[in-house]
Amino acid sequence: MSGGRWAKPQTAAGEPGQTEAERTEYLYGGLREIACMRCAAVVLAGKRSPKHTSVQWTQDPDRVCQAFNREEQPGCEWLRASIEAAADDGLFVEKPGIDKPGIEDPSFEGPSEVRA
Amino acid sequence: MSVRNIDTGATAARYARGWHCLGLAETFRDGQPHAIEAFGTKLVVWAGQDGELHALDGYCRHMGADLTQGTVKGDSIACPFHDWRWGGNGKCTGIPYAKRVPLRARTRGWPTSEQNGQLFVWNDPQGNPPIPEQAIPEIPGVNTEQWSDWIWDQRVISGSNCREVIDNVADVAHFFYVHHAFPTQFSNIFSGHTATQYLRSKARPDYMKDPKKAEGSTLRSEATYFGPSYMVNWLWPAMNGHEIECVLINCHYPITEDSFMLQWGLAAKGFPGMEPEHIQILGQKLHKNFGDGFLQDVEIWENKTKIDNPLLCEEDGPVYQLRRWYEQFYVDVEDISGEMTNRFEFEVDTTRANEVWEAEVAENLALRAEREKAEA
Repeated sequence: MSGGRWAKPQTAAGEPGQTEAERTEYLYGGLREIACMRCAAVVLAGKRSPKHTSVQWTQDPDRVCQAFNREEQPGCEWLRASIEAAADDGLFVEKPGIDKPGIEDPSFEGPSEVRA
Repeated sequence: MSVRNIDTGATAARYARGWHCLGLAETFRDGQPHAIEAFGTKLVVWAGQDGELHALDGYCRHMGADLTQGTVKGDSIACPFHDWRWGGNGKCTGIPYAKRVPLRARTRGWPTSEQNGQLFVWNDPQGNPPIPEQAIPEIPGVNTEQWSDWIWDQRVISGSNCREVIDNVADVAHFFYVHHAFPTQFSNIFSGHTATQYLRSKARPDYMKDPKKAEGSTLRSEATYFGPSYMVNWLWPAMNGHEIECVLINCHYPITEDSFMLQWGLAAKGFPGMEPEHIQILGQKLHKNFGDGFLQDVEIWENKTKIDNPLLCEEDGPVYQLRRWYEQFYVDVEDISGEMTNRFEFEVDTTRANEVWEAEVAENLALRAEREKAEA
């Protein structure tokens, strides 16, 4: 157990505003507006791979979505289907330079199956 | 390519608004004042004659003496220095040697509540009353005959801010490296003042005495933070395919900005027809099991640095969204933005990570087999 003060690394501060810019990117990068096929709900959604999904509500789901949390599963099946349909249409394919400003490191050559 | 720096940011200048659990309520009902170092000061906690629990700033507003060394008199706490009496609402209830109490004799108090057999204090830097929607929920079942008692433990964590504990809600990969389990399914929902982690995992056979037993050793887990510091974690561990139900409370209160008290308590549900003492033993075993898991995290927390710009890969969980949710407890209520409380859902794709982990474990098992062969 160290038991001391909170450790501080001896590094210079980053570029001014960089942390804030990255934060915005991590929060909103890759998100697209998706309208539910069944009701008036509109969310921001992201999909980086078939199994990954990210859903950012901007409204109160209990108010705009009639099917919300009604089923066994939390959330809404219809909305999930709407996001999957958008993914099939290629909506989440990244457009370099727009989605990932300065974060993706082009020199990174990790395992090829990750980069593919 | 330039070197990446860690942005340690500024330390939080305040303590979170919300209910903080101080421990099992019964431990405070012995007629004595109790000292709790929290929120940058010392609190005095006591039960009045009426049985109600109270929490005040521990330093008497008369001459600054330590009320935790005082005495409970009636429903008030009496100062050891000059016997000034303070009521649970923070008002001076009497000064035995004085004709009247000065008008300004009012100290800082923390509203208290009891739920699930535990004592909570409401901390709010703005001094507002508790927000009704953020009341700690009752956990159905526990404190009945079918369940064990709470088995409770605590530990001071120094050199670390309590935000480190919160980060774990969104941290999928540490389950493999720190807790020696494969996180096979992982998702999060943040909404309002709650943040939930849904997890399914199975044990790493390379960390088991008998690797063959790993297959039937799985875990379902649903863990929700109600506010900034009180997590209810429903756990369904299965051993040899038999599922057990238990609840783990994971809670903390800040002591200073770089130390906090971590507490964890477990209650287990017995199988039908099980003797009460056997339910208790089951609870103790599970408490030891999951408590050991906590201590694995502690080692990391006590030695890491604060980092405001974590560098994430696509297989990581939503750390930034979780911290945005947590931020709501550190701003004035008027400044809580929709961004902080709007519902956010995230499902991690664990396919790639688990493929790599399975291969790593297989390699470790092969090495172990070779070693055992050589020793035989």
